[in-house]
Amino acid sequence: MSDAVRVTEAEVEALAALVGLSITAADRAAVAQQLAGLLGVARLITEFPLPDDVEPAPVFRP
Amino acid sequence: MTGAEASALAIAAAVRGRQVSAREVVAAALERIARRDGAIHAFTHVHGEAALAEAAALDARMAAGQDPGPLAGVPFAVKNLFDVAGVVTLAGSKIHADRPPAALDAAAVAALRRAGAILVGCLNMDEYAYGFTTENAHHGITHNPHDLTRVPGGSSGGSAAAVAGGLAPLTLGTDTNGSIRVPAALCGVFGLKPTYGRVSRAGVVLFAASFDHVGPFARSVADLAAAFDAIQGPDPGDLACAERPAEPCTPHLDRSVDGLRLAVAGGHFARHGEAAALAAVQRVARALGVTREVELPEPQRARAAAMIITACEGSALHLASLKTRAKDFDPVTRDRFLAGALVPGSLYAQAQRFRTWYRGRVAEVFRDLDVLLAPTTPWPAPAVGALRAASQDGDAFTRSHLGVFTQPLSFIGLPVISVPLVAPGALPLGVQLVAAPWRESALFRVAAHLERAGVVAAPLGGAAR
Repeated sequence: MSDAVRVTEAEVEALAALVGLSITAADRAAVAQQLAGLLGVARLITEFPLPDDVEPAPVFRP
Repeated sequence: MTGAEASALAIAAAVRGRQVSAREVVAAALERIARRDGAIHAFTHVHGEAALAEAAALDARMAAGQDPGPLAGVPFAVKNLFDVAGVVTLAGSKIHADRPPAALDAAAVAALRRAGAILVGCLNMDEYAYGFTTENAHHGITHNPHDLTRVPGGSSGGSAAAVAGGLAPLTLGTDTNGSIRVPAALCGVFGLKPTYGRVSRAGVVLFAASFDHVGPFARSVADLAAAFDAIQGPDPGDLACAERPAEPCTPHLDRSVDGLRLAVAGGHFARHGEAAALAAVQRVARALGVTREVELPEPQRARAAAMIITACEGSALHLASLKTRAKDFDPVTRDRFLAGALVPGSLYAQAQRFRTWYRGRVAEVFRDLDVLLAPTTPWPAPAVGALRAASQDGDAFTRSHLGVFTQPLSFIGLPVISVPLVAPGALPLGVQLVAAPWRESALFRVAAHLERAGVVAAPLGGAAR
């Protein structure tokens, strides 16, 4: 996996507020660790060049 | 024909031949559950009197001259995220326990009942399917019937343990990132994750809808095919269910593997496992005479994209509960669901774009390949508590490492059977047989060949004897 990403508890608190979540102080460290892990693996996708005509996988059929 | 060893098809043949009544079969299954499940803890709900009444009704229909169906009298059980009419659908959670009982059966449950099978209960799982161990803070730990000190895998751990423990010959589970295949491997049973869209998920509590699948567990290839044939086919009640006719696999079981193009997965799939897990693949390859090796493109990125999509879709599904009842989540799923709710949308969309790219590249690989062999898990079953402790000690991704070989495949909906290898004195391991979309029949041909050759088999776990 890519290099570790650092996420602070303060960042978790601020992000959570933006999406209407209240994360207790007791949970913030674990959530920061999980979010850092997700953002770390996400680099494997964002650093990979994709042609512009590649659409997101889900297709909606009306 | 009422013993734990009996296969589903042998039971159905005996019931249809009136050698035994469905009620006798179900009563014996309930007695086994009562006697053995205290140690295994696969069940969270036993259907009891209701199952006996359904079995008696089936016997009455037979007495009246009606066809009782191909799975007549076969006891089956389902992961507790399947709706069962009259039962609260827990999905492994405390939060859903407060909901009213389901009004209708899930489509797959209804299909098995139409085939004559008798539901005997609902099975333990990781909360909301987010885990690989079935160590559930609300509903208890399910133990591996081959070694009760070890986990059964997850998230459909109860489904695999019930089959390995001889408590039911058929069960249903769901697989998003490996939740059928991982427990099938660790419990030494057969598990099928069909092609995405092959089996209806109507009436199932979803997790990550982009790659949630329903599939069966069994102790023989023929039983697995019979269950799959009963539940597959189109259903307008599931938006993702494909509008294509069912393609029964049972007729393919006696066909040889001649003409099938086979290969072992190299690269990622040959690197991240213990020697025993990789040796299991080589044993299967030797039995099939396979020497060719192929590599799938970018499986680590596929796994990463699967993690992002899972986190985002799972968190979105449970966002209302995360806002109002976060404390009621299992501690080991709560932090992951909360983190998933904070992932930027651009990363989710990019993961879905990568999925399109990866699907195209893997399709190219399968143009001259029918079945690919890969390990199911990197290790045999871990000790109870080991992965939970790792995740709480700061090693967040050890817990998910059990899915290192399964995630890159379900991510694009490929059909996979995990076949069991259980060496004497050793813990079970699994090997994935992987095909192009809609080619389950090729998987069943290979699995049946390996079973006939004695290479793969699903003996009952020691806790069942």
